[in-house]
Amino acid sequence: MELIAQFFEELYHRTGWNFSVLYNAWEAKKYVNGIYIALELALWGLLGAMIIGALCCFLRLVRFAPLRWLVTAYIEFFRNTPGLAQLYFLFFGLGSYFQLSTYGQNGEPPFLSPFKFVVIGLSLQYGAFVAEILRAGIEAVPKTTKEAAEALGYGRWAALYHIVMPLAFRISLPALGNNMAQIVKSTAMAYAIAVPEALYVAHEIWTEHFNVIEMMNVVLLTYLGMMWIFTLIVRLIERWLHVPGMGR
Amino acid sequence: MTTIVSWFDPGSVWAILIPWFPLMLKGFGLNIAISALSMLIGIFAGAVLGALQMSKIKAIGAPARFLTLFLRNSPWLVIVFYVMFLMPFEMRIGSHWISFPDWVKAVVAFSLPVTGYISEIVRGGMRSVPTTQWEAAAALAFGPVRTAFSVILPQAFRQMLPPTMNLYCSVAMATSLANIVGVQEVITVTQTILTTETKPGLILPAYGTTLVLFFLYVFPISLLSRRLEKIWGKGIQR
Amino acid sequence: MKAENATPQVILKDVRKSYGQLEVLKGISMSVNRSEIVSIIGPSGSGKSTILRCINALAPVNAGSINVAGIEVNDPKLDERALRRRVGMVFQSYNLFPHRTVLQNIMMAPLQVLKQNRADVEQRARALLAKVRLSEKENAYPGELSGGQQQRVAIARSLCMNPEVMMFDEVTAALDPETVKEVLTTIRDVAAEGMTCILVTHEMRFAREISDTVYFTDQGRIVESNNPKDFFENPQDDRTKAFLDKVL
Ligand SMILES: Nc1ncnc2c1ncn2[C@@H]1O[C@H](COP(=O)(O)OP(=O)(O)OP(=O)(O)O)[C@@H](O)[C@H]1O
Ligand SMILES: [Mg+2]
Repeated sequence: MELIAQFFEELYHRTGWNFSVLYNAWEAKKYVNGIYIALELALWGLLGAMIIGALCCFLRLVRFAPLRWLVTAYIEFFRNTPGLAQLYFLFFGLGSYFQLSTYGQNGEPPFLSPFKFVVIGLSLQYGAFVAEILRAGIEAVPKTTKEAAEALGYGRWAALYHIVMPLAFRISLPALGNNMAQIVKSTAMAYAIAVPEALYVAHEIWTEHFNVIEMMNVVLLTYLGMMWIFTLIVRLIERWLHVPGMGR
Repeated sequence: MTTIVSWFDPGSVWAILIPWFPLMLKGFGLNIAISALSMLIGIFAGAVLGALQMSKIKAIGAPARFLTLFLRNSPWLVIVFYVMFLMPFEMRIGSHWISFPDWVKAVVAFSLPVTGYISEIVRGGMRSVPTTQWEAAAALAFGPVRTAFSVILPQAFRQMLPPTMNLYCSVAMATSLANIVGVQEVITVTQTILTTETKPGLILPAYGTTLVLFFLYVFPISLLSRRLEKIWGKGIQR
Repeated sequence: MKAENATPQVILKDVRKSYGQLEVLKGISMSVNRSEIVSIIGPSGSGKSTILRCINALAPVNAGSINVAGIEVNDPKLDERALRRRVGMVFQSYNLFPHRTVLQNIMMAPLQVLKQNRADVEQRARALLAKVRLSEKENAYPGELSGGQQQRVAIARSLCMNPEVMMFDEVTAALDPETVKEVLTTIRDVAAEGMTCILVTHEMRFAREISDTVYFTDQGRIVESNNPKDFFENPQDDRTKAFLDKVL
């Protein structure tokens, strides 16, 4: 670590390339914290999206039609509007209307922090995508397999739980992994409402040192690194759930 | 009933907001323009990159694949920042100075990820055509470029159009990110309106309106793409 | 083998079934005694599969009555689970559950649907696997088996529910000639133990050898039924003659 810091400090003095985060301990700490926040956003967002997606997928199977329409409306709306506009709507719109994001009269902190708003926003947006992915997965389970379950005496829900869902989940996994990567990328959006994640911290640093080029590259590498880690995790899950001979 | 009536009362939020609609629409026009232009550029660049990806020459194929991966994995917002800050605001060509307003930079920025995604769509589309078609064409003495353009691409087109339309939906939605760097697109316009009016009750309906604008534009395209996927999906099954 | 005690176990009376405008079954009546082996043959699209699907309530009928071991299938308050544990069905496309091993496939329904004791089920499952000569494959996944092996597992899976009637729907149609034999041997073993069997098949030699009664269907009607010897050597109806001329 010492050596790296020395190297980049040297580099700055000799060439003017200022990778300040790599030698300035204070900034490094701030930036690492930014990465940590970005990862946290991604993980919570992912969890929320999976829960909302699974719930919606389940509600869509219920025979009560108005409920299905409602869920479908939610899914279509959130899939077909920009995440940033959704976030603004939630944070500035709903947040101020219901006084969730504003300070109280006596200066009490807001009910929901910007961080939580981003998590909610990501969950709602990507939950809609997850719901759609899971539905496609369920549809991809061959009808004959469902019929075989029925012939063995499984009821609708038992077949869904024991046979259709486990298969649908495996079929959906690549698409879910893709979705996960999108969530990681979308965490950068948190910048817009001043959540101190990687991009935001980088912005603070480059306004102070005027080292935009260096910091942009650091940010880009950071995100590529995070994407790489998430891709590895998805691969691991895929391998873990892999069933010999299933699929191609 | 009372709520509906009160919408049209002078002084109600909608009475204030509706006169601003033309301006918001103008802002949204810029979103559409940015998305269309960057899509156009991205399609051409992506087609080339996609073809390069398929190249059997390692020195061409590998870098093309790497670039594709890189463009697809970078967050759009980071790319927008990158281009905004690092692209000069004017450039000298011969004796002329050409200036690049922010929205042009936005077009450049969005065309980069589009290039990556199109490259991947092109590769997937080419792959979907059985290799025997390549061989059949080769047997008729077609060169690789001719084969691609007159045999494979027409067949791959159906495979590629729906994902390209989906990509366009994503681009149209992503143009809202240009707000963060101050391009006068619809969300920026909305924010200007909100600061001009300084009425807290306006925030919710104003952002709601931008959401609806995006939805009305994007949803039909996304529906059409799903339709095509369904219709053509049946035809191509082998 | 001849049926010694002639108690009817499956009775269809004037069963009619339509899909939309298309009437697929136009009044089917048949009666299958305990331990009787019945074959249904006929041209493609004549409604053979539909008859089987109606018998275990996979497809609801429009008119007529079906009685299986005392259970009225057309009853709106039908207990589907009770019916399906009595009637086993094996499909042309095997329809094993790809995410479970061979042994798990066999044990799933008795455990999850009938809530039987695990130790008993496991013992029974192993015995059945031995019977279909696949003991060494108990931990393989369906995707790792050949078509004929998968079909034998599917038969064992149905048998593990201890059904009173077994139905086989063109179970050898998707297999290559080599493996057809091993599956037919398995069916022969099942029949020899006194199980009531209804089979739809294109294997005329097999139908002739194994059946007590052969039914011929055409365009949703039973045209002719007889003992196999007379049926194949002395067909009465012109349509039967034409069909046999074509396939024999
Ligand atoms: N789910 C369904 N919806 C609409 N029509 C159906 C359905 N299932 C079967 N049919 C129609 O019912 C008729 C009889 O079908 P069935 O599967 O019983 O024929 P089959 O005698 O088993 O033929 P095969 O020998 O080809 O299996 C056919 O015309 C078929 O198109
Ligand atoms: Mg059939």
